[in-house]
Amino acid sequence: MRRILVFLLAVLLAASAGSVIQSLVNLQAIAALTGPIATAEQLSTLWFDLRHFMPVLAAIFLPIMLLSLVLSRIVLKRATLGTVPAVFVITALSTWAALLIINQLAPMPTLIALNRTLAGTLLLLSCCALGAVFYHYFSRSRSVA
Amino acid sequence: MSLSRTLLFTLALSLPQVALATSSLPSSLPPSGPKVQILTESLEYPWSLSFLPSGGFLLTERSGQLVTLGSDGQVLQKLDVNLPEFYAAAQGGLLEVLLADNFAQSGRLFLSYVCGTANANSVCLASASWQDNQLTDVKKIFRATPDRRGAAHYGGRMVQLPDQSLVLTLGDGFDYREQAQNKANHLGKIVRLKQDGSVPADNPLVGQAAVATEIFTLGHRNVQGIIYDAATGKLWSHEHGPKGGDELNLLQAGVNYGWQVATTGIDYTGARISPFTRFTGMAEPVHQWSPSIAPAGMTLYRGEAFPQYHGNIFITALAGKALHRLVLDGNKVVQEERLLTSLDSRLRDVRTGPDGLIYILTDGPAGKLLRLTPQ
Repeated sequence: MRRILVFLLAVLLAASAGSVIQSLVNLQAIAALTGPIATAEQLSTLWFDLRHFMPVLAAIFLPIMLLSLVLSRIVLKRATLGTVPAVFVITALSTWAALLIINQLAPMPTLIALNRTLAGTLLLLSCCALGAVFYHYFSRSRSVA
Repeated sequence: MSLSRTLLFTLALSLPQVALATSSLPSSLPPSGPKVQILTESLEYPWSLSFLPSGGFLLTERSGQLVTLGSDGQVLQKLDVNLPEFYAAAQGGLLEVLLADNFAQSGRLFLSYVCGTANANSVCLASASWQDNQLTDVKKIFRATPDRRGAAHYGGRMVQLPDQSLVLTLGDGFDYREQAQNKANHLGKIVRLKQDGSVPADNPLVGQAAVATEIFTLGHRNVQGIIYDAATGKLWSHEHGPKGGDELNLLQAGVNYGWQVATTGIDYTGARISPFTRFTGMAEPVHQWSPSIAPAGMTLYRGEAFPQYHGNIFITALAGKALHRLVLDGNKVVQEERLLTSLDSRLRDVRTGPDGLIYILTDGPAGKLLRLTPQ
């Protein structure tokens, strides 16, 4: 039960971080066109995205993180690797692969706006990967090896 | 994009929906439903319809076919167009066919289409001659810049103005939405060209430095409907919003229509695109739809077969699966009626025929040409 709760918390944190980053990147792009955006508008956008975009991102991250943690466990049983870097890299690569598949299936070229640029994509991968590391660190069995 | 993919993603992303305001216009007009006749079936993703002076039809299929129909709708010919660098994928391919005003004498027509490759494509415009049911003298006269990756948001509709110039609608390429505000390129713009592709001297940005002088208006997302109303001299367009925020606009040279700074729509993922629904210096839409109807074609009715529709705008909707009839009072939409909902079909294009009847193309791999006649 504890593992499940920690896992859900990890997904929530990863998706929240992704949501906030996307909001900030998007606001920056809008501000480049309009000039400075009032703090109230920025906060409103952050809150809006946390309520509406974050759950979608969580639904995307959840299966990726689940699969990545299982994959990490398998890999670490067979290879001597640093656990945290392995979990991070495997989850990041899984997220990248998942985004490629999603964008192939989606009617639009790129589903998640943050995924349109290399920097944004790396931030998105990092959010999911750090969520997996969070789970690994705070779940009862800290070593998956 | 396939319908199944669109539905799948709509379902997948419908978890947290924002409550968007719906149009509050009265829709309780008296039943005036026209009679629907199917003229042709089994058209492959038909996109644009035009009327031959001889009485038949010339229409495009997105995969690259120029289809000739007789006046009874019988398919007479399907011609593979051999356009320079033609590229068909997802939303891209052969788009609009526009017959020049003097087509009966000159045989001249214009084709908008997607050109390039998967990683570098854009909207091109070609002029050609139509002689003996063949396309000859094909010349590429314009290519929107810059190229983009992906195959979405091309625009591609055209209209000819009384001064013979062509107005061509374009899209933002989906992934490049910020560029709709960049005057140095054609993404998210409507451009105006002479019939040889050159820039009219009275285009609004002519004389300014570091701008694309073809630009007529800017700040658009994906414009798939444009009409010029000779009776009023007004130029109307509509465009796809994201999730919500489809717009009807009254176009004026040099005006910024706001995308992506001012929009009532949100991203398909639920994310906010902009904190602004309106912004100083950017024109507000005449009318908008939230949730989106996905407007894809438009005509302003000036025929005589339906006197009750005189001066109304008709808009075909893909996602909305209806023909929207808008009643105007000057520049305002005062009533809206949804027609043809019982067809349950994505509707791609609508035109007023020379006979005053209304013609519609349905979307899909088995598209139809429909004719609306009075009851």
